[in-house]
Amino acid sequence: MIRNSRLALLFVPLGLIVLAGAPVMLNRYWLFLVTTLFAYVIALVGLKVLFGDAGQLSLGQAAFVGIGAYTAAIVTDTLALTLPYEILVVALVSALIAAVIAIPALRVSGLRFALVTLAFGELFQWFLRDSKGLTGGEQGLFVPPMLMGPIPGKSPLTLYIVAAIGAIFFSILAWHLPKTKVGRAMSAIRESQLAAESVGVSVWRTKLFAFIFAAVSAGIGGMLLAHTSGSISPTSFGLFSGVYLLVAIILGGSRSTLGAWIGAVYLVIVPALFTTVGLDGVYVLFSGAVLLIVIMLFPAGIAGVLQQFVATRRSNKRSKRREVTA
Amino acid sequence: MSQLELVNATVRFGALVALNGVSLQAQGPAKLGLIGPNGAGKTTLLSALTGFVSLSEGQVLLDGEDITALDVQGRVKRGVMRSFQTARLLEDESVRTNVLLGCNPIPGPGSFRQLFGTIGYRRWNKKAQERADEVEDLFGISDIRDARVSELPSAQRRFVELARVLVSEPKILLLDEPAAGLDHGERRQLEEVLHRIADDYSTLLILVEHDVMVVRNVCEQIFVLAEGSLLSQGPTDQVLSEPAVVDAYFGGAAHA
Amino acid sequence: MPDISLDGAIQVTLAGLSTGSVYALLLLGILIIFRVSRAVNFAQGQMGMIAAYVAYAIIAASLLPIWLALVLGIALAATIGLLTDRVLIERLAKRGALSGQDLVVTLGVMLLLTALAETFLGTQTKSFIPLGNDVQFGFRSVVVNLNQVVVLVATLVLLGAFAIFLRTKPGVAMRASAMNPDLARTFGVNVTRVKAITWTVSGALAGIVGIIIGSRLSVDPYYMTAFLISAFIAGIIGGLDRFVAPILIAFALALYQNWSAFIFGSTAGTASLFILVIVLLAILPKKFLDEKREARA
Repeated sequence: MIRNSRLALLFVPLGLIVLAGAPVMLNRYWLFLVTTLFAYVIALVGLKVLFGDAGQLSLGQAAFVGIGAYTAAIVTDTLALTLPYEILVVALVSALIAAVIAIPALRVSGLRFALVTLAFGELFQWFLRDSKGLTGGEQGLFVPPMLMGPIPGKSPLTLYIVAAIGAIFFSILAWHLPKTKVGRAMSAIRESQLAAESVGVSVWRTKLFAFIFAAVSAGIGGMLLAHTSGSISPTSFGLFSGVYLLVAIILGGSRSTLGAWIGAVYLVIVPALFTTVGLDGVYVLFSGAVLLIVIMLFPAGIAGVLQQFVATRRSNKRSKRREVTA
Repeated sequence: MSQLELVNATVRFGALVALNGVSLQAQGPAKLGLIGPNGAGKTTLLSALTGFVSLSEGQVLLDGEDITALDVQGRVKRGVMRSFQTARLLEDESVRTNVLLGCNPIPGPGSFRQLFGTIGYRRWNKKAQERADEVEDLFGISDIRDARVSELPSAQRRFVELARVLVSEPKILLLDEPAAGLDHGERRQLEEVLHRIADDYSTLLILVEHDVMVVRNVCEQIFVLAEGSLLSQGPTDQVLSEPAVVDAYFGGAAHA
Repeated sequence: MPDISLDGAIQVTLAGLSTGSVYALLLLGILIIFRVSRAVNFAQGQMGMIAAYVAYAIIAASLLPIWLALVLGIALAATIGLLTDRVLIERLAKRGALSGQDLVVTLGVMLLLTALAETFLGTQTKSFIPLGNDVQFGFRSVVVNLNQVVVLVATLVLLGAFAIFLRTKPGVAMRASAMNPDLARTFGVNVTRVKAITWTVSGALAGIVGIIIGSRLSVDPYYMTAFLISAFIAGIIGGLDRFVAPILIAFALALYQNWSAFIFGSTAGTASLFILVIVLLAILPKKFLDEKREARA
């Protein structure tokens, strides 16, 4: 998609106002939801880069979210690391594990790549459930609040601000990436591997970068999820969660950073809305049907529809201007 | 001064012998042509030189060095680049993004620094944009630089791909039938650009072409390939008047 | 390491073959769809689940005789297969969007079917009808039941029949329909009908597998997932466009799993599969891993 900066210009000031106003206007429950939303934005942004930009379908993103969550829980509990160090450790652990998995995973592409990520995800599940000592097994772990020195790490406001900063930071990175050399290399790998090779793109190095970026994003998102919810268990990070992340980014628009935000709204806000109106079970049905409809009718996701809308209005204005001046 | 050589190169696809013990030497800066009837193996030869196809036998030498085992990426780093018969573009992206993709071989800061937009990267990016400006001007596609490539007519798509392959100023440039599908005016434009490239950038230009007019107007020397073997080589006009060459071409497209 | 007597070895191997036959049947459905539409059907497992679940609901309510309930379940799965093809896959193919989109679409169908089961049939595990699991016989101290034997034999027969079918004219027509539909049409192949029939048969196969597994374990909305994953692993390693290799690997995988579980304990059985996949892909020489590349010549 051609970067539609006009869309960004519309949403950014709007977004900042909403961001600043939210803690004041929302009650504790909804503030918690929005914080969770920010955490998912970060994880989805990673998938936007790996799947949307580089074209690699990963079923393991939820596992990496889990890696971040469990690392955060363990590190805060046993090592009492303050937030900056905690972020560093989570990022490093995610990156390292991604680099190891990359050895088999990046040798293949398409369905086989998806399979390796699935295998890894299932292996991680098994590890979580089997290592009761470290991970609490089936029951999971309680997550202590973030340690931030004098700042109360437990306060919902703190969590909100940290998560918001994280979401904005990662969004900027993901938005900027396609404009860079390596970002274009990713697009080439997605669209035409021949074109990529012909300009000397190192396919495995580019894929590795995307893979590690996705893993670190997922890890940081997982860390925030862990602290926000206060407890974690293996079920949140399994295959179905991985599929739901994919659904979310595809629904939002896999090649768009805005799509990551829309996807996060779908994952967090929409089910909450359904619960509020008492239609709990419907969300699940809704998800399946919605995915199908979006894929069939709007392959570029909701963000794609919005971009098209803005683009048509712009060209209509242009042609109107031309008619008047001709 | 660059030199690209094939030494006794054979390429087999199963039972099919696409190239049969071909030896040739290309030295530049120069404007060279590779012609031959359909199925002669021209694209295979181009692919063998650039690393897209492996040799079953023989060697590829670059400036005297054996690069037979060097992959495409390695050869691109040494300045050997090619274009394709059907333009391979990023369909959903703009002309400018496609051209900028061609800046990939230009050395610069690593992915991490690119991601965070460091000063070093921004400097590189500025240089890349300037080069893209230059090359888009050359092909007259500057005013469509924001247009989506999938919506462009085939001639302009061809120019976009050529711009992409040029923007990194490769030492050795192999073009696969760049004139195919161009009308008279576009062909003239292409010929002018090809002259500029070879002269201004001191490129060794190897043109695989079906269109003998373009070859006549651009190339100083040509190689003639027929049925996987080298039929003739030498100054363009001289070779084109050889009876064997005319014979090989009879029935094949001699002009577009 | 537990004691491995000959009887024990036979028991484990038979269990492996029994599971393998189920993987093979599930995989067969996936293979024929890939052969005819070049699409990857992630919903294969859940189509089977729906068949078993619906059959269960009918049996539990004692509405119809058991055999009829089973047939209806299978017919439902077959219909879902047909609908997926006509409503979704064909439309995507017409758009020319098939590369990669088929994965996502069938993922969507998988989610939808799961959701339907969760909503209308409940998430609690329910025990299915035995279907021959309780009829046991043995020799020496090896115990085997009717279900295992019948399924294994039937699977082998079915696979053999299919292998022969592949060489017949309609069998070749299947592959032609995917590779070059226009060419196939000029040879008088009704591509649309071939695809529709294949998806229907595949759905029915899924239904049969769902019921067999349901009879051996119990049913809930997710019980097919592990089997689907194993079937896919076999298919992807063996090659979705082949037949003998992936089917053999499906059996080999089941044997491997059963033997690892026997030697290292049941939880290891699950993990061993994934470790195998990852290690294999890490060490296999590049030649075996390269998928079809873009045209070079």
